[in-house]
Amino acid sequence: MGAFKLGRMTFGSLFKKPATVRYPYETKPAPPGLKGQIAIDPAKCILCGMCERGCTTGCLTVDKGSRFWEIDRYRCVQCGYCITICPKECLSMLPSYAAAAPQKTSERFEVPEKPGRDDPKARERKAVQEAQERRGDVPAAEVQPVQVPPTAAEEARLEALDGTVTLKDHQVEDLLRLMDADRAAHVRNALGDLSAPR
Amino acid sequence: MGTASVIPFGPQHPVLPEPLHLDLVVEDEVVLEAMPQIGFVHRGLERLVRSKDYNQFLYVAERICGICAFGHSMGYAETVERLMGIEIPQRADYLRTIWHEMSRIHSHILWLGLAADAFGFESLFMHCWRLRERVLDLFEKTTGGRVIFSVCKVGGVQRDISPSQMSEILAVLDGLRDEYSQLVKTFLGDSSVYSRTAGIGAIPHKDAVELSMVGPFGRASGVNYDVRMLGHGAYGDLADFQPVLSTDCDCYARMEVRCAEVLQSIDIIAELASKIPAGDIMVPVKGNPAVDAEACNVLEQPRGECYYYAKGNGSKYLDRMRMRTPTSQNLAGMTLALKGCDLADVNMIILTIDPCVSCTER
Ligand code: SF4
Ligand code: SF4
Repeated sequence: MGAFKLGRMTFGSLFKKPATVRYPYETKPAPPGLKGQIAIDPAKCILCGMCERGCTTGCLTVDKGSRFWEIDRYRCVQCGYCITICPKECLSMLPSYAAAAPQKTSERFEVPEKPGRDDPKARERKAVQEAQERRGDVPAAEVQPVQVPPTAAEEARLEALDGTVTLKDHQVEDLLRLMDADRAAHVRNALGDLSAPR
Repeated sequence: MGTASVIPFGPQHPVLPEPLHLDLVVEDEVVLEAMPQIGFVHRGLERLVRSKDYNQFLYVAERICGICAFGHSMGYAETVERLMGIEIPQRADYLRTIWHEMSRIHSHILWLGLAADAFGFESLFMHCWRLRERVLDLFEKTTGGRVIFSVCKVGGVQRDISPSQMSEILAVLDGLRDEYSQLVKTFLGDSSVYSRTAGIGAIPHKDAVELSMVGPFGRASGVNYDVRMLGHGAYGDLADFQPVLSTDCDCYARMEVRCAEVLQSIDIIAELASKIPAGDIMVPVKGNPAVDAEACNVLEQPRGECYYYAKGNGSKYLDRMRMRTPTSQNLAGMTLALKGCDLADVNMIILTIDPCVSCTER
């Protein structure tokens, strides 16, 4: 036992280089494998949306119609899961952090149309299917919304309206009630046909 | 003779890195009773298992705690692998164990720094954290992250450690061992440190066993239990593994155990690095956990045994994911250690269980 056990190390530190760097004037070099930010190669992307569905934090948006791929870098946690599930291997991790900004915005990348002889839709479906098989996913069953055709009375009323009348609130409500009744009657009729005793 | 009064301690207290609240019943500066209360950082992470699929939940699991992050992702991945009957390549097992032992080194050095801070030895605190930084740099180089690595996955690991990186790890840890030994000399040999820790907050072996204390806290009271000695995964290939024990049962003993465990972890890493087999680092994972399949798993976190339980329901979402963390096991022991102690020793005693309230509350 005794005091000043740390003396050697403490005095030794006086003559050594500092253990810290003078941030922000100096920064440490980033190691090559650093998880900095997600990058995309839009030329390879087929907008299949696998990354959007798989993303742990829900920070990706893939819009097939407008052909863009969007990332909210402020919500991304750099887990890298999207990289592992992308069927086209177009995502990667860059070893530099996204810069801070005064406003939270999403970064949007336009995805160009791919030229090619074969049907791009079929290729994409195949890629999705392969990736789902790799992950062991069961594709969600396609759910068909039930379609109830408008009744004749409804159509006639809508035609009569056709943007020319201004309705008061209670009139709108009346109209809606009537339309509901019409629809209900229609469904009842349809069911009646089916369930009528033979 | 004074009258007993209640002093609130925490959840915001300079010595506590985590939000733990204690109601201390104090009379004449002596603590008669301590009533812990938690619940300040509950985040409902276990519930999330129903809305994140079993692959995504791994990234949630590793965010349970900022210090044993890798341990939680490893424990979770192992549990799901048992649930689905997946055998992972041996190399992946070794890599996981190496990272896990490195996490133990950084966790224990962090704790030693905090302990130094708690008894007012600021330069010792700074030196501890300076050394810890080197381990974090190794993490950054091998996994890409300093605290949260996201390197584990169900079925293996995402990244490999190349031979050059492995030799760098060994060289850095070897350099660390030298400087670290000087710090240990201060922790265990300095008279001021000794007078703040020796004989404080003792828990006899019998009580420690009865209260099922785990981890370095239990081992300092002579509880001969360390999950690593069960020989799961790569631990089974170690030539010899003996838990670090002490029989002094006080704060000094807990410090002693943690000091020795860092050196033990450096040895384990060196041994595993010399034995690591070549080969794949992951296997493809297909399908979902079966309906009503159950699996459990134990893992030695830096703070002690952590227990994992998972239940499948046939879909890609798990039905239940439960963890019992070392701190929840040790809270009972802590209240016992606080009984009858001096008010000035409360912070030291609380710190020696190394409470991780974020793990406990999830
Ligand atoms: S998973 Fe890959 S290919 Fe599919 S939309 Fe995302 S980035 Fe594009
Ligand atoms: S790295 Fe993780 S959080 Fe970020 S976009 Fe990919 S899946 Fe989402």
